[in-house]
Amino acid sequence: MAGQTIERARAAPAQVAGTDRGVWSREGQSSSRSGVRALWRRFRRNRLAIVGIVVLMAFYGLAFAAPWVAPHDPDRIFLMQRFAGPSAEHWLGTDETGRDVFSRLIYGSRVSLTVGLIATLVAVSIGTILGAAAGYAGGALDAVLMRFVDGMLTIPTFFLALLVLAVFGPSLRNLVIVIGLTSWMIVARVVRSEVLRAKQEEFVGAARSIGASPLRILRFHVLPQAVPSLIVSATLGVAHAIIVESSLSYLGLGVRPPTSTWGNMLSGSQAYIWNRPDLALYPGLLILLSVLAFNMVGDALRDTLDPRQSGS
Amino acid sequence: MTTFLIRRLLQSVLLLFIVSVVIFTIVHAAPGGPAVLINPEIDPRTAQEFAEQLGLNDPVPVQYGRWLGNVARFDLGLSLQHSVPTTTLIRERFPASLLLAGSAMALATVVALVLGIVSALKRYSVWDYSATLVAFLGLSVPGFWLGIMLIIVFSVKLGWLPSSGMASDQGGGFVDRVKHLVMPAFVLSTFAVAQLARYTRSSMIEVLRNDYIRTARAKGLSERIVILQHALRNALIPVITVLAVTTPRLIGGAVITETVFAWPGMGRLAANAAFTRDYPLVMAITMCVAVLVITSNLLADLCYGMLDPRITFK
Repeated sequence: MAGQTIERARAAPAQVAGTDRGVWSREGQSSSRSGVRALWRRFRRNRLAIVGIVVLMAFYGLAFAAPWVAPHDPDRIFLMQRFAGPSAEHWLGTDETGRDVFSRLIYGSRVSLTVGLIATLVAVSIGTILGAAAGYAGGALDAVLMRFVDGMLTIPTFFLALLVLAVFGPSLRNLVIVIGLTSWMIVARVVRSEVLRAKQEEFVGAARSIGASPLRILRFHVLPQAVPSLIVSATLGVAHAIIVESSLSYLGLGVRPPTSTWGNMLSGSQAYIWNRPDLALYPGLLILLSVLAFNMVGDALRDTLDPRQSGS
Repeated sequence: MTTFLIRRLLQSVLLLFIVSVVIFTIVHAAPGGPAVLINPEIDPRTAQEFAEQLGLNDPVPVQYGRWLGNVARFDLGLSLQHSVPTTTLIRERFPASLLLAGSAMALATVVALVLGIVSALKRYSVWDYSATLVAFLGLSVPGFWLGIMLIIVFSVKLGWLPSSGMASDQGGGFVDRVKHLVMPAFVLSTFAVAQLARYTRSSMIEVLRNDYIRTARAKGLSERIVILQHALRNALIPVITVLAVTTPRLIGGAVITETVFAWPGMGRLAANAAFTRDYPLVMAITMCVAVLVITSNLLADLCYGMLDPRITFK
């Protein structure tokens, strides 16, 4: 008997932890730890996701270590060497004003990778608060908030972001706020539906019956149920945010030069595609790789944490 | 059915109202004003009079009320930048955008269905893995960069395709127009291809497990008919929703694609309107886009009902 139970727990840890044994299994430290280990085993089977994690660790590591890794100051102008080809001194050559492309790529990763993360943090916070409020309160608040979500989803988010940045002026701060403010709607929907589901659970009723406050119930009993879906949509959200950031930068609405970002390196490059197509190649390739990595990790996380929504 | 349509229509009006309030507030809340008024060539006094004349000094709610009143009379106002009715500008640009977005959507649907069906039928084969990889790449590639890369390969290096515009200066025939359309349509379709292919795959896999598929095979129907008529028809139902959900993303993507390829469509008009703070034009385009998105959602729901007779409209 006992052996069989453990077998089952290994085969379907999410299900066991989530519904079968309900709130009691969550109290025990040891069982949740073995749950994490089982999830990790399931996640590890997805090789693409492992590659994705390695790529992300390398990218964030390079971004962090930029001052030590980059061979040159990214803003230093080598006047006599504009459009220089690759050499021992400039590994990937220099750009139109004679700056070292390789160093600018490494420093550029800092903006591109952090904007995605922070913007997603903003989006997840807004989405969680509004989604939880709508789902838990129900009634009129739910109706109003969800119509607002519908309305926001009716405007193409990229168009909205472009409009706001054009009107308020481009800057790093505005970029983060705008991407966050235009991508919380899906999170709100996801959290709302998770809250609606969790509200039906017996342990929520139990908590309510012993007089726990709504905030306490949300914080300790309802929202933890939404964490798996949140992690998944946040990971995929970062991927989207990086693309939006680079697209806005391409239109000249991102972080202003001379600070380099992958997006604004690309925006200048289209003018020189006849003689130096590689100036356009590298930054885009790095955007593609980082977005791809986030998407692969997010997809694997969905398969691991949220089997209900997984593709196959 | 009629009550369903009436209810949806009322909901749509509400949505349009919400959208217009949000956008109007954003555009007017920002400091500064329309580019035409900040133009250094214009005498500040004239600019002041002009602003007064346009009512730009009134409180925002008053301005919104006036705008709403005009919209109720089907008047979307004059563009500040171009001094022509915004509807004229939109009508000029709309066909180009429709051509681009329509081609992209058609291309995406065909490619995605093929990829999705092949993946589902040959699960875990080389084909399946390749299709999945293509979908991942499509989801992850920044459209403007893909556009620039295509221009480098097909315009700069090979010289096969033109890099910008809708047609050659001399006008050009059908072939010329198709050549101009190929790259922008492909770039714009990538995201939709990826999204649709993934949903088609999982939807097909789900459907193929059903008993009625086994029944269809058991009664000796050819595999082609089983797949295309029995399985695909049912698999399409969730896919159609995804198609509708992709529409806003497609319109947003059009802004970028049209900029890269200098395509004379509404996306660039929208970007310019935003840059020059052309309030009436921004509002007109936003409303236009919102109507498009709402319509496509409604169409998707109607298709839903056509494909699945179990769904009734209440």
